[in-house]
Amino acid sequence: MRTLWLLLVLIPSGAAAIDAGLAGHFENGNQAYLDGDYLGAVEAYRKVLEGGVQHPDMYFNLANAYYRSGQRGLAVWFYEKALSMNPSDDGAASNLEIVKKELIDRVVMSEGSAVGEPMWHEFIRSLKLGWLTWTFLGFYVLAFAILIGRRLARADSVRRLLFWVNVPIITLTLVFGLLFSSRVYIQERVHHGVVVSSTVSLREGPERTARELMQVHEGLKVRLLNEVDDYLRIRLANGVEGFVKTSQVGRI
Amino acid sequence: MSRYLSGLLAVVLLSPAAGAEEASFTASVDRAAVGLGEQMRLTVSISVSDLDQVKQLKLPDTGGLQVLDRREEEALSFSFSSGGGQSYKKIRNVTLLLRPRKLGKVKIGRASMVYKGKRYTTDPITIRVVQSRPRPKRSRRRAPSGFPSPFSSNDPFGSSFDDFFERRRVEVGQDAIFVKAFVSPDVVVEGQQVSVTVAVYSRVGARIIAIRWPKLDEFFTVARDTAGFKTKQKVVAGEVYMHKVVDQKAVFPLRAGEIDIGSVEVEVGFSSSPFFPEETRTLRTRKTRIKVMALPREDRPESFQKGNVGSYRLTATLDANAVSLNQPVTYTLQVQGTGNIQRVRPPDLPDLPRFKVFDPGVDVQVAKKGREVKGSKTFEYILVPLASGDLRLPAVEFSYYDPEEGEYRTQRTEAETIKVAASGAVGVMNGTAAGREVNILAGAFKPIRYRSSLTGYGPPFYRHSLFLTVLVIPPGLFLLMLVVALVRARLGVDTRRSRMRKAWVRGRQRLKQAWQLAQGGQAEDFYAELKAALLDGVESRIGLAAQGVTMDELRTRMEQVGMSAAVSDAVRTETENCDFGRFAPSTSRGDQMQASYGRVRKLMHQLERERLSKEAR
Repeated sequence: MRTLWLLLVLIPSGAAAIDAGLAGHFENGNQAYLDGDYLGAVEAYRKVLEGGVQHPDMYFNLANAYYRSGQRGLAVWFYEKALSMNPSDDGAASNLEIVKKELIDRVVMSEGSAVGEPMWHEFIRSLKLGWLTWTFLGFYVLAFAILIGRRLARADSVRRLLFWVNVPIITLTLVFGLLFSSRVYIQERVHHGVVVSSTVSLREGPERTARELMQVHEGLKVRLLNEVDDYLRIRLANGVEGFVKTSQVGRI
Repeated sequence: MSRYLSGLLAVVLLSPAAGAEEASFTASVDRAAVGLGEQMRLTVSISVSDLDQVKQLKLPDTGGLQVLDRREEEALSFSFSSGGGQSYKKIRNVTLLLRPRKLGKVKIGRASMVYKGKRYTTDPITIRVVQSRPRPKRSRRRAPSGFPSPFSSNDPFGSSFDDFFERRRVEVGQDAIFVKAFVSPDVVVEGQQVSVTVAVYSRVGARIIAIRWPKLDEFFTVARDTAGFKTKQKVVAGEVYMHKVVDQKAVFPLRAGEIDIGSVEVEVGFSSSPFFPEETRTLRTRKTRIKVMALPREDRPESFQKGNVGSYRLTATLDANAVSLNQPVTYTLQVQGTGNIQRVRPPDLPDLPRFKVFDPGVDVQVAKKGREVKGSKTFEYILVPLASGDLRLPAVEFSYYDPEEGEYRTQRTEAETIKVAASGAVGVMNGTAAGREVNILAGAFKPIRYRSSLTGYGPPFYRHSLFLTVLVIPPGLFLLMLVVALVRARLGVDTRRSRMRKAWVRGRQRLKQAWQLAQGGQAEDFYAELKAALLDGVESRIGLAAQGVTMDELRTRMEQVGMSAAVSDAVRTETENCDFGRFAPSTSRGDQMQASYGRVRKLMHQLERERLSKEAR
């Protein structure tokens, strides 16, 4: 049982300290950034990423370094990654807004259209996955514990009490279960990406010879629909769809 | 009928004076003299604003006339009064088909009804019944529905209700309903607004089915909302018409010269009487020609761009006057006024070498109501300062041609200054205002996170195998409890089979106990336990208690369940042997006890084998 608790505490938090070498790269990146060597900072932070570290602070610093070195598309991509991991990261949201003002592409919604991300997607995405997971599991385990306790209880009064205690617990379990499964669905099935190349041709088909619909520019956030060979079918916020090279879009 | 009613209703709803309260209640006959055996019609007509309020309707006494049939019709009637007011009424006609049975005068009595608490009666009617005369036969009309008229079978004149109404049908002439387009003004300059208004004039109840505009390729068109136009009464050539604006467009000519505006087609549905089906007709306006003059060349400002025709005002706003290097500012220019706002070109920004200027974002707002097109067009420029210091944004000019004044006009914004700090002082700048030092705090770019453990985030927990474990354990435990409870409940049932199973388990335990007693040299207890184990074994085989039963009875039962005689004999022998051992324990040696134990054990195995083979069968 002690082992189980230890696992419960440690695994979701990824509490194991990172490798000293990776920590050193991170510090080097920070120092390079402060010295104004933004490309050096990018290089150092990239090494941390390649070491398998996934952390909003890491993404945030890398995004800052990209922005300072003039690579706005990559900056937007990593701010979005930081926000995807921690939706309440105000710093990343604030800097992202500043960078977005400098972007070339403004998606114009056609009159009366509402093909952007649905409201419920926005809402569910704003919920922290870790918090949602543990809240759901907490109510889930509690609900079954009460069910088991009720079966073991001999006195009718205790059984009745446990029944009524469990009614709201089971309701909350269902509500959080629904929210949790929706969040997992969005996490696993609804993918977004950011155009990272400075200018990208949006084509009608997954071939270089396909007619060009329009040109999009770095930093544009798009919905990723599916992959065909080395092309991605993407959808803009106004519903326009087309194909771009996979390497030109960073998956959030 | 429903089409007709909806058509009338469309017009009636526009009527501000709908709902007059006066009631009309009349009775009439279609002839004053009728031949004996011929048919005549008596019609009682109610014309009120609310038929639901009609109570206690009593039809007149027919004075001995035979009632052959009765028909009721309801409809709406729409009318204008000479004072310009409009009214509608609901009509219910009750028509009786009558046939006299004797010669002479017949008096048809009064009909009565109560409407809104007031009693109404009709006047009595007197008709003469005369000898019928032979008449030439007429070809019978078929009812439009294809079913024979209920009145046609005994109608000597070949008339029917449909004939009756058909005779009263009024042809709606071309002048009873027509459509007209008003084009104003018809002499304009390029880009100036021309309003085209389509109005329907009608003397009958009518509804608009469709409006089809001609091609307006040489214009930029903006649809206008006509919902606010009321139905009015107008006199045309001495006739009173209902007048309704049904559509309006603002058109802006794109070239100079004479341009035709083709006919607008309006498809209408109407009927001359409440009792006839709706008729549709396509009405057309007359083609109109407008004269478009070119914009004057003299006094044309340099900043004028084609399309900027109307009356406008230019405003400029800057979202921040102090920023750091590379931090963008939003410079918003807004053109507001009357004219073709959607075609207004953005004012030319002066050359700004110390800024990176992005293409503007454009937002257009146009009011839908009103004859004149009004609105605003906003151009949002993103400027990124490329140098620090006080950067100047010169004034912006916007020129337009005002057709009302007949001259070009130019609007100018104020010049602006943006204080740009070096990037080291991100977000915080010092400035001076009215000689006093102030701190200007602008939106800041958040710095890097210098210290971070870079832990606490990893792959989501739901991807970890432990998540599945946590998910499965609670319901697994619960299910296990349910299964255990179920098994225990089943085991607790006292059936023959369960008794046999329990006896077998008990026998095995006793056999084990006997072995321990043998090891301890307790012969008396050993034999007692060994006998009990054997009898339990027998019980597990026959399903009945073997204790306290005589050996003969036991043998009989064993044979009944199909046990072999050899086994029965062996059981008997060993039972007696155990009894002997119990009552003469001193004679029992250890090797004898072991031998007895071995035989009983073998016998129990034999019993078990027989039980299993029987179950298998």
